[in-house]
Amino acid sequence: MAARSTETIADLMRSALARDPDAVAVRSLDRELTYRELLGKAGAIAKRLDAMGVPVDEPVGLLLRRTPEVIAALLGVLLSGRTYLPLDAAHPADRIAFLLADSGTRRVLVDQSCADSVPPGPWTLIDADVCMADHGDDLPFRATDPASTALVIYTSGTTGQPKGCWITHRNLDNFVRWTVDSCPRETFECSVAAASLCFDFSIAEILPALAAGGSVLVLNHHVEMLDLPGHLRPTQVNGVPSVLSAVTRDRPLPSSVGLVTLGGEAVPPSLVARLFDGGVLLVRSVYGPTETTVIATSTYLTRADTDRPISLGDPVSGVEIYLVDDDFHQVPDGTVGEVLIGGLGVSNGYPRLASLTAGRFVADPFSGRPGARVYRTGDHARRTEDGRLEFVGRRDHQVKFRGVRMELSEIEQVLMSHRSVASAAVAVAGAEPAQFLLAYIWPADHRTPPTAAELRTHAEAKLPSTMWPAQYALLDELPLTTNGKIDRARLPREPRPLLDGARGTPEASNEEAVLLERRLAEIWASTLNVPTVRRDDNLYALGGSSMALIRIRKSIVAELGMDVPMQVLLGCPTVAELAAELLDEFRPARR
Amino acid sequence: MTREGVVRMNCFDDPAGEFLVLVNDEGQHSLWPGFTDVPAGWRMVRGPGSRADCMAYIEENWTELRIRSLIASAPRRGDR
Repeated sequence: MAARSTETIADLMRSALARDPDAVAVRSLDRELTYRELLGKAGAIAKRLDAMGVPVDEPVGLLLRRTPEVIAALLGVLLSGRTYLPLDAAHPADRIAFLLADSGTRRVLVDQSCADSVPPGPWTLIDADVCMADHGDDLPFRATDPASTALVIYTSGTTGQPKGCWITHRNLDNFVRWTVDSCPRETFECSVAAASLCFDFSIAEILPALAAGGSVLVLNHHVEMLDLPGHLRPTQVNGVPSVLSAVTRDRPLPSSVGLVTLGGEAVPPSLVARLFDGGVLLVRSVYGPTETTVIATSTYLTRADTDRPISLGDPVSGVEIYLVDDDFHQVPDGTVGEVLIGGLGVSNGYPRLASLTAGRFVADPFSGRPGARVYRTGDHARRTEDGRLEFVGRRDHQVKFRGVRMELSEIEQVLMSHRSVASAAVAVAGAEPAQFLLAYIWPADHRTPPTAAELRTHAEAKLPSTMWPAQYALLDELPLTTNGKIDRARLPREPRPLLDGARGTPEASNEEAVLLERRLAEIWASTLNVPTVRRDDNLYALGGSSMALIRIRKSIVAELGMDVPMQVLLGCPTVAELAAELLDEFRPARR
Repeated sequence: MTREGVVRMNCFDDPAGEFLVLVNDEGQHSLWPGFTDVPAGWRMVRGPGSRADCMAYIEENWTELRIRSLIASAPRRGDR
């Protein structure tokens, strides 16, 4: 192990190339690149950047379609010791311009189809395809300062402007080394890459698989996994729980998938159970803010994790976790504290945001390494007596209720550990002195929501009585913020109470329901450009994208006169479910 | 004395607290609560003072956020 600890991504990829240059490195639905081709193309990019005199600390923008070449372009920048700035053609031009200017980027790698998405400004476009077309055997590897920046990645800032984060080569090398060591070798044979490069989880999809000598399968969306040609057999999937929940609702992942890594938001145990039921052997939950390089802690889940709050797990090697109180002293086991992250994952901070960086990346008094920093996450957790690190909530979700200071998210975590709950939000409702805790429930399956009695029993078994919700309500839509978290400000004031008994979903038993289903099926078929849609066909399995959802929504307004909230569409992926949801409003006469 | 009824504030976020500004050998700055020992490898460059004063000092004085060893090894491009 000691010898490994200095190996970089570049070292590992050189070894992979030397072992088998003709092994496939990157695949897409219709093409593939071997290691020789991939690194040859990356070498052509590096050579071009050298010729243009691009300094190592000047970010190079990446704005390319999702083809195998985007990986080659990324590696051309990264392995030549430089910094990449991921961009997304789907983002507004203003945002792209802000990112380019804020990061100090002056060159952008593009292809023919994306060049128009780059707004005018003091930057030069480089056609990556032209660059790579006549590549030779030149390799992209250049001497790299581990302390220099490997990528600048932007997240949404509290001020409304995106804020960048400088991830270093040392940060990335440590993350990749740990990932390669902590997953079974065969799971890297074919790793699905479906996330936007602008989302840091994309790093986990791409770099460890290539460092391990495996391959990456570039897709546009996770849903494409369900209908792959027979020769494409993905072995590893990384994803956000809400996305993978939607994708796997009606059909399991391909049987070749051996490892699923879930991160980016709380993991609902109902999804864990579904993945195991679908035949996935290893399910891993990971935690970590962008500021500390993709993943800070991780844990492999077991069946036991399907009915208790999921542990954050153990730190990535080289990473340290401390739990501290408000006075910055470490707390004893069992006590809630703020999560601090130290060690090799701590990034270099937010470019151009001095006071924000100095307030969140602070001096490290715990490790004994002079001059080191820790990142203050704002997340709260506690270490249980059996050593598990349990997530409790965000610092900003603390309330004082009937004199007791509590974390609403702690109640939410407990509710989400119920099999029938996909998401939960708890709020203090009512006026003083008659305030009470109200739990909003987004069920795992809208056809069979849990009853209030079930949830009450569940909560009472796991929480002190001061934290028991007095009322349970069913969410008809899940209000989300732009980064996919529950938007508390938009929870309904007068929600629909969850029934104590079981709720039945209306079958298409009357004429109106049959008619509504037929109309909806026609709209779906024409939008998705398929001949017919059956009442139980899953929208995502039919190739539905977010664009398709928007078009379907428009058609329902135009043809049926009903304004369906986006979240209802997302939550009802079959015609039968959507019709049941909309039947009350349906007026056939409006045609 | 009980803390009942008092919502305690994190020592880094308390607008009424007393703070220092620390700097390490790489030129990185850290806000620091005034009552806590200064960790090894850091020296005080400002304080004790209010949070607002320390943050203003940081904004004014920490203008090159790249670490010192990098600035030395890789001469910077001209303008931004």
